[in-house]
Amino acid sequence: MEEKILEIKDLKTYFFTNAGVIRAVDGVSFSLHKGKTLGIVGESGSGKSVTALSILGLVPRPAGEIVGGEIWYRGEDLVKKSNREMRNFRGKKIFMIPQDPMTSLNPVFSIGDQIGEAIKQHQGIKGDGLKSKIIEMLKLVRIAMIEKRVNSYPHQFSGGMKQRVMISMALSCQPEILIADEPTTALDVTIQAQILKLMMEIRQKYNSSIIFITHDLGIIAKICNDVVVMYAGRIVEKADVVTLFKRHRHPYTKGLINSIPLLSRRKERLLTIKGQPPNLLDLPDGCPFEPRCDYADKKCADHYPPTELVTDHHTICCWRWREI
Amino acid sequence: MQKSHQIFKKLKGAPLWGLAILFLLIISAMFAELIAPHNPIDQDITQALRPPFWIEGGSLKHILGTDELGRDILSRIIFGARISLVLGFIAVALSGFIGTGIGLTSGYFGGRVDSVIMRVVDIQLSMPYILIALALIGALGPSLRNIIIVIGITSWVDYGRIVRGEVLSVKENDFVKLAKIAGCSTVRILSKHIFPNVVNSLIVLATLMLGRVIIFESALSFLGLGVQPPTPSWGIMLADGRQYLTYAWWLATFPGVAIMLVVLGTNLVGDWLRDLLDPRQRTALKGGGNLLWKKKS
Amino acid sequence: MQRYLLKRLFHSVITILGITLIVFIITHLTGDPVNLLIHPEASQAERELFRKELGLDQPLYIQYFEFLKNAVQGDFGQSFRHQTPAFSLIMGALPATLELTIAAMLISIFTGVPVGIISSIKPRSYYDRFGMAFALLGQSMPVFWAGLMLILLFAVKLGMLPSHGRGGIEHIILPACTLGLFSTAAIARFTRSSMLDVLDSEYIKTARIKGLSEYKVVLKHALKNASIPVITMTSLQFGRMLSGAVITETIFSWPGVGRIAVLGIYSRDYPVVQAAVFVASVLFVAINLIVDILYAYLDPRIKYK
Repeated sequence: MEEKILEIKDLKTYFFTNAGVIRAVDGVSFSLHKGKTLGIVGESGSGKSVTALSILGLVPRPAGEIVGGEIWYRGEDLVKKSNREMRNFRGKKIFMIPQDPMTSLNPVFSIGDQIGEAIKQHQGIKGDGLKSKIIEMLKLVRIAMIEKRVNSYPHQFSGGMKQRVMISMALSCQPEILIADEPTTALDVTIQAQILKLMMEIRQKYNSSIIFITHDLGIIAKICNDVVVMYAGRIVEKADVVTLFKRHRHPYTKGLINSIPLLSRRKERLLTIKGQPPNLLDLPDGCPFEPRCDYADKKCADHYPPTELVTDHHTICCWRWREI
Repeated sequence: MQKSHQIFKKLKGAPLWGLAILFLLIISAMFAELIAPHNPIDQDITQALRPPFWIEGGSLKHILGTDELGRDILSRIIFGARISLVLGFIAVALSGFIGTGIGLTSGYFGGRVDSVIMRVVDIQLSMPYILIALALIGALGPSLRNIIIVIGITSWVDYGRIVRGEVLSVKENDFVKLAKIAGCSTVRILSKHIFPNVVNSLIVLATLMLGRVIIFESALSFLGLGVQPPTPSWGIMLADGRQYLTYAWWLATFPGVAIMLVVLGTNLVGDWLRDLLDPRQRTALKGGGNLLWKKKS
Repeated sequence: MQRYLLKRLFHSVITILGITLIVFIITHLTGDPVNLLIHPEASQAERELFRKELGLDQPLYIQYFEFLKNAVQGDFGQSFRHQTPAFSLIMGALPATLELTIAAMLISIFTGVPVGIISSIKPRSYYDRFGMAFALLGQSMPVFWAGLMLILLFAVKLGMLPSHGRGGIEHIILPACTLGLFSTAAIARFTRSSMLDVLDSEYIKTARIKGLSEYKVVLKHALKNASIPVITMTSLQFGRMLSGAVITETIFSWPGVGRIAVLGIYSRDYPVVQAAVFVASVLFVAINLIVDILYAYLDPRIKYK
């Protein structure tokens, strides 16, 4: 039986700005099962990253704040934890690989130092054993000639290598849950494939539970077990990966999948989702996707749809899913 | 550019105290004769060294007391505002002019010209400006004209560097390149395209420099190499007051308070202008944690 | 890194050459430097002789070379008032100035940096507002007034500290605080903004994700990055301080280079003034060079270029 390792209930994270309140995450619920990979997919601004930051308690203050909901991990509600208490969870239990490898490493410390810090903190190794452990952890991510480069600085590495260093850092913390926030977006396509392959090997080796945030459905198809689709801070569809690709019901999901250019569709025009991403400062009362939806009717514009079950493991948030 | 209602909101955050102080300064300078209770150079030995009115021995006739020659301190301060303001403005204008000209040249033409000018800037920055100023005044003789020239010559560097920096970044914009392709003359490009983008920083800098120049002038006067008596400059008042510090502290205190308030005013207004006109620049007084959400995924 | 340092050294030398040029120009501004360089009561004949001696009938560029040659050897002529070589007079006063400036610098760093750091950790809190308000005030006060007020308070009213002269620790406190006031404020403000910038960075987020204590995040990860621009700024402050020292030394009768220079100007003892400007400037250039070396060690991006 699959064990739920992380359960998020109705999470709400808002940003209070001079221009208004931004409801970045507005009632999001999902679960992560042990050893499985959950994908969160959506456009920029859909709330994916903020969800991840909320789990770690690193929502940028003072503007941002978790205003509601629960995040259950091993019987504890992380929302209620103070910053100091969250430190016990960060790194050791939950780790996040941030989006931009170019700026994620401290430029004034060598990468050996930075990995060593993680090892010291979470594996408790100090002194002489530390140096060899650092090299061991870096070898895991297959950076060439690592012994010579252990004392080099981040600016001497390429983007792809920096991302490997981040993955190595993740491994050094030995977390139960790994959140990867668009780890390949900033990299070349060829490097992307290598990084993904690395992550899948690691997943297999350590049986980690991963939350993979991306806007690339191709990656979702390759490595995720379950998928959550977000739009304007809410989940519009949630299912296991096969169901999502084959039996999706939400118009947005449909638009996303249709916009993947396939070789079989070479003669057709590239399909896009019409319209613009929503302005988070000015969300309508109804379904936020309505302006761009081909199937929308008046009810969609006036009332926000409830979340309903298609099957036990497939939820949808749309008025008209039965008709589509 | 910002929407008008955003600018309006920012205007609400205006530093009222700062603006009030500067307003007071300008009024004092312009209407000194009307505001000051006494003539600043009137001597009356019988009234020498009277304390401010709230201390025993003082009177409301001389609210802030008198100096060693019986001159009213308050009046001298008010008239001193005129000296400071006039000197300040001219010096700021002079150094601003020089600095902007050199900065524009250096930034726009780049290359050799730029390297040479930057070298000169480095050299000048390496020399303690007070010593240069003192040496120059020592050589030229202290007069109002010379002080302004000396302050102007030593202060242009700040403008030069900032203007140059702005020009360097504006230069790369497409509209400048288009103007060049269209065959606009250099002068036209500089004046119509580049300069307007530089003006904002200049305004901010000029405001801040006004305070610094006033301090500079008072420092020179304090050392006896600035404005000469009997002209009431705040710096001279401080120099005089120094001898009487032990038993007539008010001579030195109040002019200094005046200077401090004026500089405070320019700093506050300058910082606010910087926020207003160029929100890209962060100031030391801005709070941390972006209040505008960085749009990430 | 070697290349970087050599380049900096080269720049420093050029800068010093430029300085000598400027000093030379200032002296010749009035058209007849003899009036400046000779005793004011000299007769016409003496002036003529002096002019020949100084080679003032030579073309300007030869004069400059002579001047340069002498300057490098430390020969700036004789001080009129003291009948000693101007240069040795200045060098004799240098330790006093250094003592004062270093003391002031230490005060500014050890007060300004912590204030700046603490302000940056909790921006907009009461602590932050007070700290920055005092910093603003500190930058708005003229040095000489601050000095006089401190004398008024501590020497005149409270009688706790002496108001002039050089001696033990009690003599240096007031002058150092006066001289360091502006810098403390500037450093506090700048540290705060530098830290705020750094604390916003992605790599700080990474450090927090790693689960490091806030203490480590701020004092290890953030500070090392934030300190780089602060150090540059501090060296600039040092230069400003040499200027401020002139006034501070005058107020407190501190026997340093600044005071001697000012007295020299009053008495038209120009060799002394020349020597003072030269020595102070070279000192500043040297400090800058040292700071650049320090910089290179701190920022690996420069080290490994």
